[in-house]
Amino acid sequence: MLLVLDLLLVVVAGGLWVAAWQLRGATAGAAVLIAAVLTTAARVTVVALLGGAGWWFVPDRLVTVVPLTLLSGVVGVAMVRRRTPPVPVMIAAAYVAVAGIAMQFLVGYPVTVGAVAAVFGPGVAALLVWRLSARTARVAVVATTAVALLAAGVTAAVGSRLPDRLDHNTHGADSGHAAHGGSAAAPGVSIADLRGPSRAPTRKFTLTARAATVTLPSGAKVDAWTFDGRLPGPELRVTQGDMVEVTLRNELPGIGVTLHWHGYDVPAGEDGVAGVTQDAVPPGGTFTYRFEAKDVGSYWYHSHEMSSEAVRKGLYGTLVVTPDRTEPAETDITLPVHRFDTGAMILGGSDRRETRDVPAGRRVRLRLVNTDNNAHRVAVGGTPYTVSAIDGRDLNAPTVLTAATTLRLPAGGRYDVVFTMPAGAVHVMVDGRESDGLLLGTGAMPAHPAGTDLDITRYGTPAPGPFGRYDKDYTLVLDRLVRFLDGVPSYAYTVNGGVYPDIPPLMVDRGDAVRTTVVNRGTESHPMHLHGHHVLVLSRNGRPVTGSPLWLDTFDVLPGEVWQVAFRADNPGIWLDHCHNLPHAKQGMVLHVAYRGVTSPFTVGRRTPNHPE
Amino acid sequence: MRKAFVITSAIVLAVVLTQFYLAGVGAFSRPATADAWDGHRIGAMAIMAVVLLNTVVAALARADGRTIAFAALPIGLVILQFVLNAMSNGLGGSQDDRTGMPLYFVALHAVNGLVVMGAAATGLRNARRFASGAAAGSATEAQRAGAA
Repeated sequence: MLLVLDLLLVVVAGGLWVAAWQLRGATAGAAVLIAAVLTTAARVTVVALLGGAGWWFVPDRLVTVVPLTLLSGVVGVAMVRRRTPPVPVMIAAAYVAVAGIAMQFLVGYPVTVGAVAAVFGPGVAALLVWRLSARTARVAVVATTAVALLAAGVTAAVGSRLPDRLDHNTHGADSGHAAHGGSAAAPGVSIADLRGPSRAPTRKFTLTARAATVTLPSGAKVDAWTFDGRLPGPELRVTQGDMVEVTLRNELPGIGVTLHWHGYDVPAGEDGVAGVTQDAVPPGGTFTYRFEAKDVGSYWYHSHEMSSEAVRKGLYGTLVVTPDRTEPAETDITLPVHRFDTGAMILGGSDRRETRDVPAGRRVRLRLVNTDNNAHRVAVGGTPYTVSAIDGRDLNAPTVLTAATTLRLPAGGRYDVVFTMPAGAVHVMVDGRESDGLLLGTGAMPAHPAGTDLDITRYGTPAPGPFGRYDKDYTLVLDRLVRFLDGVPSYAYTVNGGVYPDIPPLMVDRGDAVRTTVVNRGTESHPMHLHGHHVLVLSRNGRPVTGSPLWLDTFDVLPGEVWQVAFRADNPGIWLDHCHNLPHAKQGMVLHVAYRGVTSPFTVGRRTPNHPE
Repeated sequence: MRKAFVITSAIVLAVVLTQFYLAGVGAFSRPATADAWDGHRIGAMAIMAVVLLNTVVAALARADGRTIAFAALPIGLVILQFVLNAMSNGLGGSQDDRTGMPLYFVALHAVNGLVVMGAAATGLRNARRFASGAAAGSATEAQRAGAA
């Protein structure tokens, strides 16, 4: 909220200070001037509050807020003395206020000397032009400034263009970890060799990607990219201990495809990321994934080739690992939520209210899966229930919830909801709509009181964590800044001020305990998803988790929030770590966690078939 | 140079008009995909670029301060367009779900778009007046529009 307010104030302050300079002396000018000073004072307050939330939020703001405050002071003194403020002060204030906008949109965090030079350089140049008398000197200053800015812009634009082929083995150089096994001399293990076990499969599946027009239960038609012509793709339900083999066949017209096991921590070579762990499967091609079903829980799969478009169009399904082979004593329903471009929204496979008969007294498990780019709010009415697991990991002693609690399911996340079927009906409501969702049992539609969101960091009972000290400590500052994306200027999504592929990877060694602080400076939430690992949430906004240990693969960092998470580097590979609002990933918010000594023969770039986002 | 200023001002107006067309493409494409807005997104960058160029040309043509400031005005207004969108998202809106405050906020994007259009049209009038030698007229014009 503060970030939103600050965004408004910086732009309004810029406009007011420029107007105040232009209208200096006029009657309206005094009013504008007062407004400008008040806006600046408001911004000082907001920046101070932001600073209280963490240092990451303020350095770029202080660069302009401090001088603008001083200039406001001078203006204020002049006005109190009923004098028109001097012109140079007004010009300086207008410049600094506009520089504040530039800092906001171009610089962000961290603040570099080069960035400050680019923002204030033109002002200094203008000052020189004003003070210098010789015409040649003036021309020289203007030309130097223009050339420097142009060169910086062109360098950034050209540098952002994806090369024909970009491998992931030169990471060490730009991150200062030269020992990363990229060079030919270093002994390395190829990601192509980090595959699942070779023993005979106990469960075999084939998924065929193909375009299809699917008629939903309401009669609405969706032109989709599907697995096996179905929306969602087939549910893969396996038992702990199974050796799973999934053959992917591609019959899509001219579009590549992969299978990524979202939340299921497979060996790196099975992770299904085009250009990192494999080449996208071309039309007519196949790829076989193999992994052992070790971790009981709710997961999902989707294509990680052009994932932003592919997932939206239907290339997704669910993966469920159950504890044993015996006939389950519970009714177990998997409920992926998905929204199509047509506006159709399906829960499970239906876009209207489905009814299922469940006898009273039976245990019910609902596996809620958000396969979309934005969070969904789910409410369960008609019965007390518990959230027994999040992201495929059981919670410790979860307490009973009621319909007055809503579950904010982040993009990519999964919640397991468990309850005993009451005599009346139970309704699963998505985003406050009673007209669809899932109605279990018989009887009147249960009430849905207005609820508050479950705070998962305070839910359940604590248990000691596995981490004592940390071998690596990283910070990821998420933001939205103007950056060149493959040569095109865009209002992109950034990590530490950079966009993919120019974000240095988080280098880890096998066995490391890695702590990561994730800061969201933007105005949108970022559901961060690390492949191949679950992270333990340590704290949010500086407040430690007081509920059950939370092992997540997707954690939603809201605007202004600071999350601290930790993971054990126990699954060698090169892993994507990205925002699961997939358009954000496509617009830059992607980096890697790279194990020292692991290389990849796969590449992204113009002359490759691979577009992971 | 004065003629060049008129031409670049006309280009600004043309690009702003095109931007409205591209907004139409985004709004009316079915199924309503996020990609349908790509053109409008690039259009915003194009406006920034041509307005920047126009401002430089205005300065090189030695137009008066207010005419130059007015030529630069669309940059601030276009930034405001981004900000309205970002604020809407910050208040809880998204591409899929936008009602209440987030919607009412982002709807101002359309109004501010008209202001950009007005600024571009007045900018062109300023440039033509300046080119025909009536620079003084353009200044008062700019002042009046700026105050409004």
